[in-house]
Amino acid sequence: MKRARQRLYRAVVPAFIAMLPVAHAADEYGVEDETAAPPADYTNHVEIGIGFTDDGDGKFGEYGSGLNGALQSDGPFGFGSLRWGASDPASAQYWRIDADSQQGRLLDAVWGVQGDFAFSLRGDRVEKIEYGDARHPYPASGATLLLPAGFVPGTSIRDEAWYAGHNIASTREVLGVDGVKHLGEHWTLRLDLESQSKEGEDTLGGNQGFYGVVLLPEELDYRTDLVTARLEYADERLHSTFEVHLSEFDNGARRLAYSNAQYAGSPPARPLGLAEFDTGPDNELLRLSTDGGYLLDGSTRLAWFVDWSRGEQDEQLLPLHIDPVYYPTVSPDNPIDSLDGEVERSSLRLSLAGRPLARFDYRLEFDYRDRDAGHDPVALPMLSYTGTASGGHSSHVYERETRRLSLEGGYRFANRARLRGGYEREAVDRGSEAFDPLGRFESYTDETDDDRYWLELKLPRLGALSLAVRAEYLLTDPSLSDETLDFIAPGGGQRRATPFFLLERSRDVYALDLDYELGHTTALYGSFEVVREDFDNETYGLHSRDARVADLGVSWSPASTLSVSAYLGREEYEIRQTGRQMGGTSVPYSEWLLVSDDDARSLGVNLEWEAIEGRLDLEAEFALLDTQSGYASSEIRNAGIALLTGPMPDVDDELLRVRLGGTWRLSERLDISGRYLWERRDAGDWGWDTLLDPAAATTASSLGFAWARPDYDAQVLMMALRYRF
Amino acid sequence: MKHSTAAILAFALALAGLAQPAGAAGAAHEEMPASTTYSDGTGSCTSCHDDAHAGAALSGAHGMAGDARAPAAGRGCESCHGPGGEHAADERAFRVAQTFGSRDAETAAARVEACTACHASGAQRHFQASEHQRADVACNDCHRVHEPRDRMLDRAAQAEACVDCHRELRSGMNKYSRHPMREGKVACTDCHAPHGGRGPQMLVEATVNETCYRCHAEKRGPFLFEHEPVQDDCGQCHDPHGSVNDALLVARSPFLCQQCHNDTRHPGTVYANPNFAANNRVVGKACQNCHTAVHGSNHPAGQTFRR
Repeated sequence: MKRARQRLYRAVVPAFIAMLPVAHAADEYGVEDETAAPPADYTNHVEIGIGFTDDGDGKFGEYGSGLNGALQSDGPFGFGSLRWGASDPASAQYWRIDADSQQGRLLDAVWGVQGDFAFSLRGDRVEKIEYGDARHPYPASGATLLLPAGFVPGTSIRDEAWYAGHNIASTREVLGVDGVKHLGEHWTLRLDLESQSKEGEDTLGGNQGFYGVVLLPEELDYRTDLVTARLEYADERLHSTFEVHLSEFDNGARRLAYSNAQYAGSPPARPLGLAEFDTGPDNELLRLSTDGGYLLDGSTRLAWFVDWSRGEQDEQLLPLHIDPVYYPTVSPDNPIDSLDGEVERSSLRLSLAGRPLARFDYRLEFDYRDRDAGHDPVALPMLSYTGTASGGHSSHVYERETRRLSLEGGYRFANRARLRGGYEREAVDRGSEAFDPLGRFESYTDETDDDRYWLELKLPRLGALSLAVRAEYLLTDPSLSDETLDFIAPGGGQRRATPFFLLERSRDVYALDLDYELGHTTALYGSFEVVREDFDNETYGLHSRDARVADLGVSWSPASTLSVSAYLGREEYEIRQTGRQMGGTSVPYSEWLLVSDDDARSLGVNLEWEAIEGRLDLEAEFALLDTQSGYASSEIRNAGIALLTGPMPDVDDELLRVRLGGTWRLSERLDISGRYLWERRDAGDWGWDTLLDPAAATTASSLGFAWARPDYDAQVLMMALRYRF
Repeated sequence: MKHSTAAILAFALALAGLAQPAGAAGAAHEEMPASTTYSDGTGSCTSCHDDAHAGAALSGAHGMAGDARAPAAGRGCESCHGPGGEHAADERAFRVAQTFGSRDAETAAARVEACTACHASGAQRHFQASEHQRADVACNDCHRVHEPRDRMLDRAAQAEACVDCHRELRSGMNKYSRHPMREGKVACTDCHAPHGGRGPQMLVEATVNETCYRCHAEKRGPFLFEHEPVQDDCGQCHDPHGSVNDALLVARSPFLCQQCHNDTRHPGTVYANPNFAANNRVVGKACQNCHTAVHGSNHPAGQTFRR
């Protein structure tokens, strides 16, 4: 694969560059326009500014741009942006550079001749703040996390003096080079090169059996290189593209070893030495695809998409790490050195769409997708807690084949009324290959058939009111293999829930959309959607999922200089699922029902106002999102052991944002602008809040890593001068 | 819900009260007879339409006279608006042949045709018969040709245009667990192809997973131990449009995991008090405190995705 990528770089890139000097003149109408220039009165400017933030804990959202570092620190900071470009309409040549340290891409530069070629360079960066200040006892991050000298596992962890704090954050960077070149009247070549990186830290859960669960700082060092070359043909009837796509992912921090801060351990319970993680292998992908369409007549079009790809992964497997002090007799040999994994995916989609009558249109589509594994399952030794090795573990090789046929049509009535409807059938075969506990190869397939019907009616317009309703019904009919049925059969000691995507289920969707125009200045909209999913579940797991989503909004523009919009939204989700409490081998199992509710309410107002024509622009935003989640559990069958049930705390989360801004035009070329942002997050989540105090025995016995939920209440004020040229 | 519904209705009524009565000027213009002959050129149009709104249309790609395909090299404004000869002579009696003011579905086909006469390939090659085209969405329902900067081409502003119709997605962008759309780092078009895509839901790739792997290639595998729903569809567990749960999860862990896994080796307790705060299966990353490699493990001892 690497050779293939190298060949592509060596062959395609120089060829692409070599084509430039022999560029053809501008093409005729009806051909590709990817070389199009941006608007010329795209005003050039250079901006420099200074800002001040009052709260170093202010995250201003989970993500930040180039300035995120500044917003994480108290005090002043600087920023700037540049937009510079020029075009010559007579020769159709243009260039442009955009650089912005605050919002949008950090760098976006393009140069080209419209109708002939274009080159662009882009770079971007985004930081994600996973959580706020975290604390852990390891003195240094890296591939091996060792405890400091004198640290006593299980004891020192309750003493905050051993903890050091830092942010858990990761940064993504993207650098891309794109080029497009017209080759004569009908052909266009496009080449995109992109390199993505993700560096920083995440958290990784580590345990050694049932004891000593710790959350660890995991070093991230990802890099993904993408190459896409596309050749396109277009004439008045036929459009077609041929594409080669390569992806290569490298994990630069593939292993993580750590010493357990929680559990001192003693034989034969657990090994005390370093435990080692495989944080994920490198992988590569080669994909060939073609898509296009052919106009059979003025209103009928045949379209296709075909692709084939091969993904590979042949990383050396990490050794089974066993401390010989405790497990001297265990043979840790792996049966294979690497998976040498290979997955081929192929897709075919054909669609025919047309409008045989002025009021009637249709679309017929067939879709086939296949995921085929080229490697075999592997039987692996199982290491028991007592240090003995035995057979019984097997990797599962997963394959999937999907066939979908859909038909839809629409008819227009008078007075803007319209009826659309469709039917879709999707058949999915999910195949598994593995070795059973006795080492016998087994292969089985679970099948599901989905039938979906939908209808959409736009009612005749009632004056200023437009109303549309939509209904959808989906029925999933599974046909499960004997192996899967055995696994989920009631009464077994290792009984599990049925995976919800293999359950028989029905889904109903009802939606209402309305728009109401009040003159030319005001528009109201509203939408309401109800989704109900019922699972015919005789075992444990998911039984129903309900959702209700309502939105209401208004936009008001009484003058060309003033625009106000506001929205209200509410989302309610309810999930009902059952489970059972472990009762032991001789005691029947008590069963429970859990009803989870999420209720999210949003409110927002936006204003844009040219307060003094040609002189003063003002803008404002207010946004509020309030989420409440509840978890109500109850016993539905007491089989001899009382259920450990009771009130579970709710989760409340509120995010409030106020943004004010204004621009004053000092002269024809000089603007001064000011921006103010206040953002507050108030999150109450027991999942994290209970980790605050490592000294509390209840917490420290669970997790040896503490962090606070990133609540903040922060403001930032920015002033900038912009010179336009 | 009752209080919120009442609040929403009150809010709507209050806003409705602010509204002004409907005007008839626009409709009257649409009812004028259309011009059938071309004018003397762009100058005929700009002699009246001389504001920035009109000028912007021919200032960018459309204004590149050096490109023979551009309107500036052809009939100028009438390249898109059709003949306007009679309108130029008597604007009170005639309109141009093609107007774009009405965003009505009835006019969508004609508005699309004015654009696809030139923009029929490249990213637009699948627009005909696409989901948007079948829903009577026309080009200028999203694009702004007469503005200096088309909002659809502005990564930070694009989502605002999309949620004009896809209203149910607006609040997702304000949730704490979301993609960085508000910051302009991820745009709707990074995942969706509004002119017609290769996959379901107008995705840019053939499947949901392939679309996700464009940025999250570390999840692609193949792995020694694979988690079936992960390879099946990322959407089984994640909602890419924003979630009230961490990591865009559709439900909170451990309860999400228990929708498929119950009592395999662990007590399938509901994790209520009194053991709640101490339970390593519910606080922190819940199941993932131990089962870290849920997207697939390549460790020979990773059969339960623990490493």
